[in-house]
Amino acid sequence: MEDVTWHHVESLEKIDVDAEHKLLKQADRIIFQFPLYWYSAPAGLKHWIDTVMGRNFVYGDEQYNLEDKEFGLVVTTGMPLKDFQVGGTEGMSLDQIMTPYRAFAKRAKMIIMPIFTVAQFWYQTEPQQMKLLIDYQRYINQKYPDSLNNRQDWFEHELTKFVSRLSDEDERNANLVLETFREQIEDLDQLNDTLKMIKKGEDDNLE
Amino acid sequence: MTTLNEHCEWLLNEVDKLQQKQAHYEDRAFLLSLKSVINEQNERSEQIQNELDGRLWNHTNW
Repeated sequence: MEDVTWHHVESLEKIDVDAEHKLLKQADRIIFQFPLYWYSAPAGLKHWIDTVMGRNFVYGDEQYNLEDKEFGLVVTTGMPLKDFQVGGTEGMSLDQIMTPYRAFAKRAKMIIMPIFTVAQFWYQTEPQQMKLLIDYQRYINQKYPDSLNNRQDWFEHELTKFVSRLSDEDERNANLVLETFREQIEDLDQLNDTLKMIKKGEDDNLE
Repeated sequence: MTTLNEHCEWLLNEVDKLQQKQAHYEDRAFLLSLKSVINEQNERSEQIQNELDGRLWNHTNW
């Protein structure tokens, strides 16, 4: 994927705090990805956070180095997602369990994204796993929030790249697909504009 | 119930054909998800059209 840095903190022999700060500063979106170990991240990530996220770096002296960066969590679990809710076997939601990370992100003045959960991956059907793969890619580099507008833009961008990789024969058809997809986006935009105009007219009548 | 508009139906068919031709898992996954978005566009478009009808035929605003 373009412009994505995959940084495996558990495999670092020694944590170079300055280097980690530099990496963090250059990112627009910071995602912690981990398997759920006793309702939290494994020790390796916790150790990295405690070492790297010093007070001065996060909020000291009114300097917020992570301010306005987006913050995401990718959590994998072997338990079914339905267990994580009030009344479920676990009795609480992942949103509740992940509160400490959100508290951290809030303190750092980051933009908090919804959690991306991967539950019981191996129990999923192939189409479900395929959908999950693309949802995951979108979680990493699609514009936030996950609105239909932003989804359309992401798919248009990826489809353009996909079409350019095809052989000549397939490319012709795929180009038509891309064009039609773009037309659909435009049509929807126009419908939205018309609706907005009518709503505005109704509001004006009330005045 | 959502009905498919002509373009949308054609798109879904073509994306389907493309998907079947792809050797790479990731490409097939991408095209599968693309179909979801196309369906979503169609649904949203129908909802807006219905809302437009409702608002245009609202006699209290005539």
